[in-house]
Amino acid sequence: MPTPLERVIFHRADAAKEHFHAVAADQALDAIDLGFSERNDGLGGMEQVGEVEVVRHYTRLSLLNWDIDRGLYPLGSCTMKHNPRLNERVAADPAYADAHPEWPATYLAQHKRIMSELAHDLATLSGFDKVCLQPAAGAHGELTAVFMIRAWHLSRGDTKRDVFLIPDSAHGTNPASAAMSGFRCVQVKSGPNGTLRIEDIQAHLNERLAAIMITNPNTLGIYETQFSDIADAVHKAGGLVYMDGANFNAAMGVFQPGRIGADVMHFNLHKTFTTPHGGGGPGSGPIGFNENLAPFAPDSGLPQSIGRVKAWFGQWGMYIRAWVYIRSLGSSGLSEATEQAVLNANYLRSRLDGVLNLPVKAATLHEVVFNDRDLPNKITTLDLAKRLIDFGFHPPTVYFPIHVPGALMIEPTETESLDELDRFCDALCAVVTEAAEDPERLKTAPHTTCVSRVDEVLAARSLDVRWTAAECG
Amino acid sequence: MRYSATTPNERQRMLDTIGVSSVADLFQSVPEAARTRSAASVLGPLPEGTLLAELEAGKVAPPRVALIGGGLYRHFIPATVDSLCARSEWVTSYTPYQPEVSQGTLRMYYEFQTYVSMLTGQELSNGGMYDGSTACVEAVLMAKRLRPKTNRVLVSAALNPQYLEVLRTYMRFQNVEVVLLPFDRSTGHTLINVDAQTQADAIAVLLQSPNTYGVIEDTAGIAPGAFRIVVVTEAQSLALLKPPPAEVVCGELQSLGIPVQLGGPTAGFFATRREFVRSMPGRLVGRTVDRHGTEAFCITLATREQFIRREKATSNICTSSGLMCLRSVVYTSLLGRKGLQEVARQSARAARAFLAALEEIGLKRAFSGNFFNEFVVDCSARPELARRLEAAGFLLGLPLEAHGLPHHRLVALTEIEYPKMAALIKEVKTHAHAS
Repeated sequence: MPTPLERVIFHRADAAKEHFHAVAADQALDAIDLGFSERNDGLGGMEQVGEVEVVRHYTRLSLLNWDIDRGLYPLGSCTMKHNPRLNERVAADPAYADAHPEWPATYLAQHKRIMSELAHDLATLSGFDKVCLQPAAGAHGELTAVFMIRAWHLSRGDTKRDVFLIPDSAHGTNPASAAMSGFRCVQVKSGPNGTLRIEDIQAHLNERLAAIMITNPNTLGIYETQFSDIADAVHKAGGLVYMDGANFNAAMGVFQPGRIGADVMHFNLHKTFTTPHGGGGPGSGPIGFNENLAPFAPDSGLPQSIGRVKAWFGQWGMYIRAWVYIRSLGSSGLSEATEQAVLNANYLRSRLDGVLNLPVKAATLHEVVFNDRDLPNKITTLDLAKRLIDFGFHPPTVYFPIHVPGALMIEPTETESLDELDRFCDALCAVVTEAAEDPERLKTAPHTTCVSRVDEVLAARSLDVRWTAAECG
Repeated sequence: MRYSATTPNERQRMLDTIGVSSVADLFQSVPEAARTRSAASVLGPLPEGTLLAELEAGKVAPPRVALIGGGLYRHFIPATVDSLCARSEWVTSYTPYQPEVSQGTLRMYYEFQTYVSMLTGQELSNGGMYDGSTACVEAVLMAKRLRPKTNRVLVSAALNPQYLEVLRTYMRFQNVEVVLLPFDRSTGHTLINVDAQTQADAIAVLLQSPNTYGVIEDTAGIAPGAFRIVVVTEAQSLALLKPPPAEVVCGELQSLGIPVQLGGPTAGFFATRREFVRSMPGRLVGRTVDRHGTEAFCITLATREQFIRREKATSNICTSSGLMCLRSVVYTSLLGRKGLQEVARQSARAARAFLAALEEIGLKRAFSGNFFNEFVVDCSARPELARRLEAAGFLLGLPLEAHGLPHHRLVALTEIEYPKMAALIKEVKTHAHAS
C-alpha cells in the first residue's frame, strides 16, 4: 500500500482543539500571580494538534524515511551498521536518562565509572595513552584536537606554525576544523595508488608546518602504507599528526593508531560503536591522544588545558550505548566485526569490479570507491544512485571523495548478511544493464518513492525554510 | 560475533569469490610493523541478561527530590514522545542527503525550524546545533564573520558558567577577548557598564535570559548598532516570555521533551534574521518541489557547509542533533501553544509557591529581578537546612560557593513538582523547625 504523502503538521493546527496536560490543575496554586506580563503574540501562530493526530503524523512521516532496520544502507564513510536494541533499552533507563550532572558525586558513581571504563576501553583499542570523551560529534572532536595541537605549539614558544597539510581525499570537516582554529590549509595530492607519498609532503616539512591530518584507512578504503614514515618525517619537522578516526571500524584489532605515529585521533561512537545516527545526530566524538598532548586536553585539570568544549560531560547517552556495545562483543567480537566488515566490502568489490569502473586498484579494507566513467548514454553516478532506490536500496555515498570524479563509495559494514549483499549486487548490475537499454528510466529515477527527483536548485534560489500562518488562511 | 549472520560456509564462498584463501590475506596492505601487538583487551563478550544484571547491581538510588536546574531541567515527558521517537525509521536513518528517501526527516526539520522561529520570534532558524553551549559559541562566531575587523565580545557575567567556559575556549583560538559585563548584586540584572561606542564596536553583546541566576533580562539597555545575542537555556520560558529584541536568539531545547541525561545529548537551537542566512552555521532544510511539481523538502544552502565548502565553510558541523530535535518537535506538536503555556505557568507557579515557603522560614531571595522557574535563595539564616535536607535525599538547589555567593542556592522547580507542592513545603518546614 503506498504511503500517503503527509503534509507538515501546521495544516492540522487549530486553537480550538484539546491539548495535552502534563499534570492536573490546582486551584490554590493556579491563582498565584507571575508578576510579569505574558507574551501575547500567539507564539507566532503555533496552535494545537490532537494527540491521535500527532501519533499518526509522526508515524506517517517516519514511513517516508529509509532506515537500517529495513535494509542495507551502504553509505561509504558513514558506517551505517546495525544499532542494537539493547543499547536503546539501557540508555532509556531512568537511572541513566534522568540523571543530572550537578547532582552530588555520590549519586553519579556508576555513571562516572562507566565513562571512565569507556575512555579506558577506547584507549586500549586505539593504543593512545589517554581519551577525553567530551566532544559532541566527530567534527567537534577534530576541532578539539586542532585546538590542542595549536596549544602544544604555543606552549613550546612555536608561534609561527600556521599550516595544516590536508590530503585531497580528506573529509570536508578536516579543512573546516583547521580553518576554524585559524590555520591555513594546504592540500596534498594522493599518489596514483590512492595513498599519500612522503615525497609529496617533503616540500612542506618546514617551520610553518603545524600538523598533517590523515584518515587511515583513507576515504578510498585503502591503508595509508607510508603512514608511519610520514608521521616520523612530520615529527622531525616539528609538526604533529592528526588521524581522522572515521574509519576506525577497519582498524579495531588490526592496528593501533596511537602506536604507529598518530598523536591524536577522534572516534565516532555513532559509526564504529553502533550508537544511532538518528537522521543527523546526535553524534559523539571522543578523542584519543598520547602523553605529549595530555596536559592540553579539555578535561586535564591542568593550567595548559585548552578548556571545556561542551557543557557538562558531553554525550552521556551515547557513551552508555557504546559501553554496552563494547561489553556485548568484547575484544574478540570487535576484532571479528572488523574482519567481517572488510570481508563484506571486498566481496562487494569482487562482484562489482567490471560492472562499474574501479578507478584505484590498490587493496581496500572496509569500503570501496567506484565511479561512473564507463557508464553508457551519459548516465551519471547520480542517475545510478537514484535508480537504485527503485530496487529497494539506499544509494551509496555519491561524489565523495572529491578527488575521484563521479565517485560512488560503498561501505556495507559487518552486520550485512551474504544474502543482503548479493541482492544489492544484483540490483546494481540490473541498473547498469538498464543504463544501456533504457537510459531515460535512470535519468528520471526514482519512480517508486513518495516524491520524485527533488529540485534542489529551486530550494536554494527561492528560500522557504519555515511555514507561516498566512499559508492556511 | 553477535551482530553478524554470516556462516563459516558463506565466509568460505565469499573468500572464493574474492580469490583469497583467508580473511588475513585481505589485511596484507597493513604492514607487519603496524600490527597490534598489545595483549590488552576489553571486557566481554557478555550475554544480554548478564550485562543487564551487572548494570542493575551497580545502580545508586537517585535523590528523592532534586530541585536542581542550572541549565538543564527535568520536565514531564509524555509517553507519546518516547514511543514515537523510538521508531526505527527515525533512530536508524542517516542525515537526509538523498531527499527522495528522507522526506520524513526533512519534513521534521522544516517543522523544527518553524517551531524555533515561532518560539524565538525570529525570522528563521537552522536545523539545530549540538547543544546550548555550542550554539552560543556559533552565534559569536557568526557575529565575528559579519564583523571581521573587531576582536572583542561583551558577555554577561550571568551567563551559564559551563557556556562561558566553552565560549572562552573557542575565543582563545580566535584571538577574541571576552569582556565580562557584571551583574547588579541587588536586582540580578546584567549591567551594561560600557559606553555605546564600545558596544557598537564589539563583535556582539551577549546576554542570557532568564540568566544563570534565574533573572529575566532585557536588551533595552544595549546601545543601537550593537549585535545582540540572547541565549535561552530554559526553553519552556519561551512559552510565556518572548525573547527580547536581538540579532540572534540561541540556546538549549532540552526542556522540550528531551531527558536531562547528564547534559547530553540534547539539542541546541539558533534563530536569526533572514539577512544573515548565508552566514549562518549548521544544517538548513528548505521546501521545494519534485520533477512532477509535488511539494518536497531537501537540505538547502549546503554551499555554506563543510562537505561542499571545506575550509571556507561557515562551520565544521556535520552530524548534529537530529533525534533530539525530533523529540522537541513531537513534544511541541503534542502540547501546542496552550499546552506549553500551561506547563510553563505551572513551573513558574511551583517556583513561586516554594519561594514563599522558604521566605516563611526566614530565607531571602537574593535578587529582586523577576524570574521564571528558577531563583537564588540566601540560606544564611538557616545554614544547616540544605545539608539536613540533602541527608534525607532532598536536594535544595545548586550551591553557589563557586560564584562567590556562599550559603546561596540556585533553586529550580518545574511542573513535575506541581502536584507535590504541599508535601515538599511540609518537608522543608519540618527540617527547618528541627534545626
